[in-house]
Amino acid sequence: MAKTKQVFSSISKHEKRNFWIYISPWIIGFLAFTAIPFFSSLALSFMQWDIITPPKWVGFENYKELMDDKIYFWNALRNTIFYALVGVPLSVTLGLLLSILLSKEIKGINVFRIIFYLPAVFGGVAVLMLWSYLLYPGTGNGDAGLINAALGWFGIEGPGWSQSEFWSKPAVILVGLWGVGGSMMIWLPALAGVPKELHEAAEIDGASRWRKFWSVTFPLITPAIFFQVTMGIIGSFQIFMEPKIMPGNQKAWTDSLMVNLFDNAFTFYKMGYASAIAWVLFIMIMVLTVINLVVSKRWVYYESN
Amino acid sequence: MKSLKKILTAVTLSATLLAAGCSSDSAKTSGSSGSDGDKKETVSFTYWGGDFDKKRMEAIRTEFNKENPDINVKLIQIPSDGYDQKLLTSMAGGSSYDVVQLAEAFNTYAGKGTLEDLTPYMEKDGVSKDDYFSAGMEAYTYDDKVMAMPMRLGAMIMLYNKDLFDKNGIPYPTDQWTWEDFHNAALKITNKQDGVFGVQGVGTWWANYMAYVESFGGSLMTEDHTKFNLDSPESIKGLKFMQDLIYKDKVAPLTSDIPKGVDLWTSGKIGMLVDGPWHILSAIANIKDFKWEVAPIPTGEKFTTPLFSNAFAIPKGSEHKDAAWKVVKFWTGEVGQTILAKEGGEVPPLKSVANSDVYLKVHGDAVNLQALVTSVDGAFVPPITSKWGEINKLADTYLAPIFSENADVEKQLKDMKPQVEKMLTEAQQAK
Repeated sequence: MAKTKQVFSSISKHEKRNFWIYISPWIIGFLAFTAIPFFSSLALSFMQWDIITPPKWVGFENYKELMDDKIYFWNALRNTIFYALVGVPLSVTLGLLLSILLSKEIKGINVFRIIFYLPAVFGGVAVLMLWSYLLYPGTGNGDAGLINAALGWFGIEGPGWSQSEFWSKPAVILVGLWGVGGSMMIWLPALAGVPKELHEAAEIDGASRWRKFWSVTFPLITPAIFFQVTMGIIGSFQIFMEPKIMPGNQKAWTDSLMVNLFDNAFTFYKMGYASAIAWVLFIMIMVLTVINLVVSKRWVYYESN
Repeated sequence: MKSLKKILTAVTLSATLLAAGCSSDSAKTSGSSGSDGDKKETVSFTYWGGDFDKKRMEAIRTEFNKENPDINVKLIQIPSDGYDQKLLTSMAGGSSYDVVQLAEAFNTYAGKGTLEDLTPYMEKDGVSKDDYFSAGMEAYTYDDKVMAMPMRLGAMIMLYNKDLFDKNGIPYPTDQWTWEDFHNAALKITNKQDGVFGVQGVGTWWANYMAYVESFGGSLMTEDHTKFNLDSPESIKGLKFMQDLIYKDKVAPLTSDIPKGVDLWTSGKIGMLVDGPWHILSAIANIKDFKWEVAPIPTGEKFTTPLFSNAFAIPKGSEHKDAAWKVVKFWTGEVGQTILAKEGGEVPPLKSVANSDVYLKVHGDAVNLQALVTSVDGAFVPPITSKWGEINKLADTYLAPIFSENADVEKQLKDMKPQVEKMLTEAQQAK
């Protein structure tokens, strides 16, 4: 008996070591790229630091300055809230509608699924550059962007997009919507998870298509909707690439909080101030997510309850 | 078994990556220790740019090695995009280069006391400030100390399309041209039907608006960098002149008039382009369909134009300062400058080289490089403070509506003033 115990403990020691070896890439990565920067930025947000000279403790000075900054911070916050308020409902609704169409079991549906998923594969700066060409306003005599030129064929005068204060923000959202097919990864399994017999039962009771959707499908996919809304809000508060790569003619029209943060950190080298923006952003996202979680109890239906 | 293999691969990979990440730093420090056997002192030297710059730097190094066989110059090329960030983080990380190229960031570095005062070295070796264009020297003098030596100079200039001048029967611009002549020519050249504009170069970029404002006798801030001056009557006159070119006379295109990806100037749709000297080499290479020439920008209250420059400095942290000075002196001296001159682009800061035929006649009679030298000679140094980035962003924010929405000039300046003055106060305090 004593012998087996010894063998067992030596195996466990060996396994313990292996455990740490195997998990070390993740731990090192987590510490170096998440945990340490996370806490350093909290400390930095109370300091003034320009990278060259040593950081100086300033207490809540950065946060105070932030609250007073009407032209950049508050403007960026307003823009960011616009992206969230308009962009999230649009992308969730469009993503769901598209996925409902793509969930039909018809011949060749996979081809369509691939086509609509592709934008999620091609991402990044190159695509945004292409979009800024597509959305170019132009004067109409042959040098308009493709989208306005296409609108012109139907006698519609396209908007000024990035050149107009009203349209520059919708242009940013529109570009984001292009990749809405990516959300089908969540929607399709959720839709497939709605039991067929419930639909059949509703049909026998004479429910219309619309009724079937609202009374059967919708309640059953609320967890997916909740997930998409939450992730959408977080994503739109962190929106950076779109307004950075295709800003409005006046940057103030499109600047988001993240663009403001980037400018302060890497153009003006105000690391403390930028960290303060990051923390305000973090707290806002945190609060919104908690609110979301609390409210979700009223409308999200889990089969397990 | 399969998953174990996967994990092992992951561990090895991440270990390699980490090792690779660290090694770039250690390579740099071991490079500057240098004294292993061959007794050569190594000077690490960072610069920005592409292949064109690399060729020039290596050509100068070849000459340098002939005279200084005991110094090994290690050239470190960094892409222009992100150069400042790279330099700043490496200097903050304690690993100092021996010679660094600087431009607009100069004041930030000098203000933080991170650069070596070059004045004693100049006195010792008899390098005289007077041999260089005064604006070039002034740009790199901080608290009466020369903290970097200028390497390349340029200035806002005017390129004009000779064919469009001929077509409209307008005499070519001269050194004596006034903004009034400029305005009249622009009116004649503009032809809406052909999509031809008289002028391009009205915008919120600092060199764009300062070219007009300073020439009209105004400025962004007072000379001591303490007060906002863009709301002075002279400055306002300059800004309104620009605004009128777009909205009243319609001789300059709106941003939305310029098709994306199309260069109106190289496609022959612009009469006069007010912009930087880099257009000269680009025009030589790209413009085949029409004849063009260079002139100084017109004269207003006085002749002046924004200076562009970059320079070489020695960080205080360098451990090879004497060798580094030899490098700086050689690059910005006659041999280095002559190599630059033969490119026929930017102006060598050394007056004797700039005014020699080596530079002026490099393109034969095709380009009037004298116009560029004249411009550099009369140029003003942009009022760069440690808050330059923030002030430029403010200018962009408040001046953009003037040029893209016909906003009221006085009102924009009234809103802009307290914001800029706040930055100026902060810059003073940071000193």
